[in-house]
Amino acid sequence: MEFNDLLLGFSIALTPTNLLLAFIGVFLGTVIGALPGIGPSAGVALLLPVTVGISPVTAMIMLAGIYYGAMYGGTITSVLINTPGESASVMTTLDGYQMALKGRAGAALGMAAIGSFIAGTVSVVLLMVAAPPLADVAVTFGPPEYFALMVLGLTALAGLTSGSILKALVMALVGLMLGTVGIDLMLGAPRFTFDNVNLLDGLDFLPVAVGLFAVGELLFNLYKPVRAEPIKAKLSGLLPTRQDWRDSRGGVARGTLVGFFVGVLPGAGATIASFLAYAIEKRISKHPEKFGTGAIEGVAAPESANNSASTGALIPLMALGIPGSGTTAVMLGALTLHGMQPGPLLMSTHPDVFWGLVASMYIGNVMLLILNLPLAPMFASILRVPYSVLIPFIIGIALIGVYSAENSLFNVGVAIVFGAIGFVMRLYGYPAAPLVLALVLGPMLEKALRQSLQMSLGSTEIFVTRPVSAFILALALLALLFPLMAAMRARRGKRVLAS
Amino acid sequence: MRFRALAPAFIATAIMLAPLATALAQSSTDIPNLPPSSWKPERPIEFVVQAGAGGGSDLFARIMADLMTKEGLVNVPIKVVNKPGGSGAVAYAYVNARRGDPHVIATATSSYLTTPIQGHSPSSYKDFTNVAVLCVEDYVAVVRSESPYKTLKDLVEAARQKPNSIRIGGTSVGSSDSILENRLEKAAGIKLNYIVVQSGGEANAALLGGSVDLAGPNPSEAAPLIAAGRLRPIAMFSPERLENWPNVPTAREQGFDVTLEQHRGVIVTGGITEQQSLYWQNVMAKLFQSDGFKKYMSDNGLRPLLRIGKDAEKYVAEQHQYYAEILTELGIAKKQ
Repeated sequence: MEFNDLLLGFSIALTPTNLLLAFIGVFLGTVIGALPGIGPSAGVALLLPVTVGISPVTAMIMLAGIYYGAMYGGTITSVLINTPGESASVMTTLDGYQMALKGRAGAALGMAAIGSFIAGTVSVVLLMVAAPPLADVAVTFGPPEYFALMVLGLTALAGLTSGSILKALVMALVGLMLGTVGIDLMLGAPRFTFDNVNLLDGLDFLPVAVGLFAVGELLFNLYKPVRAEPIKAKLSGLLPTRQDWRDSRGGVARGTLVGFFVGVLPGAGATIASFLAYAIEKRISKHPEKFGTGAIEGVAAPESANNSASTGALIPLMALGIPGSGTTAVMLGALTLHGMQPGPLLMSTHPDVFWGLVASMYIGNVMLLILNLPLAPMFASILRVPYSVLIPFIIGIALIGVYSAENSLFNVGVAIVFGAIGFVMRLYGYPAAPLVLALVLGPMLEKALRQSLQMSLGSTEIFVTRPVSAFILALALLALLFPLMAAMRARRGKRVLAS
Repeated sequence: MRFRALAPAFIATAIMLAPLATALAQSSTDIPNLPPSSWKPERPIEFVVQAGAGGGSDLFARIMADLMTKEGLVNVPIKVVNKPGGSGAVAYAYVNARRGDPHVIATATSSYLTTPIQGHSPSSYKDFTNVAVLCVEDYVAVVRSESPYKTLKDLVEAARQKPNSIRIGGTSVGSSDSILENRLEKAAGIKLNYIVVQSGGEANAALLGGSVDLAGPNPSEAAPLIAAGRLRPIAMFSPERLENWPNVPTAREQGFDVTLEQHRGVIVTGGITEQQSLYWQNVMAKLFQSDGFKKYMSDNGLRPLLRIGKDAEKYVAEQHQYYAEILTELGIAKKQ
């Protein structure tokens, strides 16, 4: 990296137009992230046509702003109404919503904003100094390595919820089963599509999440009001305290690093990053029992991770022209639309685009911090609106979002059906998070498994003869055995006490 | 299903040869003489794209919508609507539900034909008015630059000595990638190990990272990585060498008779009047001649190929026959 390159970048990013468009991008991103039913991928896609006619670097600044801005905004509905705005915010619902119920929504949102800012800024530094070599390492991650990573993710699923492990596992299985709907990628045969063309691509995460979380919550409240009274919280007490920061800083640091390196892998993404960050935090915590009841590090770690993952995902895109997620695929399209050829030469043939984008991300993250910290108490005070008014309003917006993502009325129906399912799940205490996570991970796991076995012509040795895959699988095995051993030790301890 | 995958072999062969004959008889860029149409759109146009924003079809539609307005070819607003899903099945079901409405047009490429052949779509090409084919995309065989294979011949030789030892990455079975693999295996008498990936981007990543040894992307998808010296093109699956890639020999030159192209065209709903069809034929013929469209084709590595009206219907029917035969052979065409 040349210092001059960065200067060039700032000279581009600091022009009034680019500053304005960066602001519009991060602001829209916050809104899009906050709206359940419309994720960053659909948000970038919806705004892509608007960028026609403006310069490529300005377009990229705005679209990237939407992407990482959405990672900030996704926190808001997760914390306030237990509904993830995008798949990378599912983990945030677990502790964030509990904090909101205790009147600490402002602290959760504030800490998420601070964690996101730190993660965003650190990961832009990493993007700046190491994009090309990191991209080269990332592509050596083949199907066996992805398979191992997904297995590691799934082993952490059971430990996620504070309730019954059995119920969490049942929900994870249901999620995996729902993930098999659609055309079989390898053989081209439709599975469980019942001759409905809308099911050929499987079930989308967003309508299912809107149904299970938001609509399900609404129905449950009709049946048995959880929160008839608005939460009373003073605006002054709504920011994170010094103790909150002390509890969170380790999680922010670990979340940033885990998120970044998972994000760089083109086949992984922010969802898995936030998921692993949460699992790690819970595992190394001195008081894991607090997770799921409103532990602030349970918000800080995944929120930092999803932010640095979104920056990491730009590395294979900018350094190789390879998109790793739905959102970066649309951004690749944006580059093409603007007459660029995204690839290894982009950084040398169009240094203005790369360095302008990098510089704008420093600025954009500052904007988001300034935007989100003062807004945290304001968003949190939304909870003062009576629940019976707030939730129908949010569901209206969420269903519009679900429709507009793919112009699909079918997906609105999916959200409503899953709302009914979500109600029954709430009624019997089945958690929704393992289901939606398994729905996201399942198809990735299946693809990686079948690709690996095709590569090795059927031999499972491929998973243990490749060092990286073997190492990750060993970690997964440890993650499985560790709680079992801990449980046995605890039981032995109890027996000793009893005798 | 409306197509005749099980038609007698001799009919199939005759039709298979037809593209060659028409290619000789008709130059790829001749502008047909069309009478003007008496019909004009009365409402805004809905331009349906069978894929999400940011992809090749989306770019094609947005550039066309922009040019049709800018060049004054269409005097009502044009709204591009993305209807991704089911490899086109969702979009074409949506368009077919508006049958008879000449204000609904859509982009069409190989999935327009291959998805119905596999029985995944309730509507086939015969349900629509195929007004124009505008260009085609070619395919190129690429290996990573450290690969020992300098030519397609080298690679075929290695595959012959050890079947299944060469991994080729491509999208799902039934896609043009898988058709290309099938043709190459047949022409060279080899067996490759086909690794299904989800997208062209994933195929490029797998190629660079060594998970696969070979891929067959469109030249535009591979161009940046070739220019950067990361990938090496070893054969072009076009009938002749491409103008922009004069140093890359065709597969045919190397002794393997494999060609494949993916068309890009425009369809209107079925059941419209002759004049309404003629209106769109005129628009497309004029669009094709505009500087903006020529620039779009050369920027994106597309080969100009104009077929309007009856010629477009014929081209699409021929391509359909070609795909139906291969997909039947692959065992994934839906039986009638």
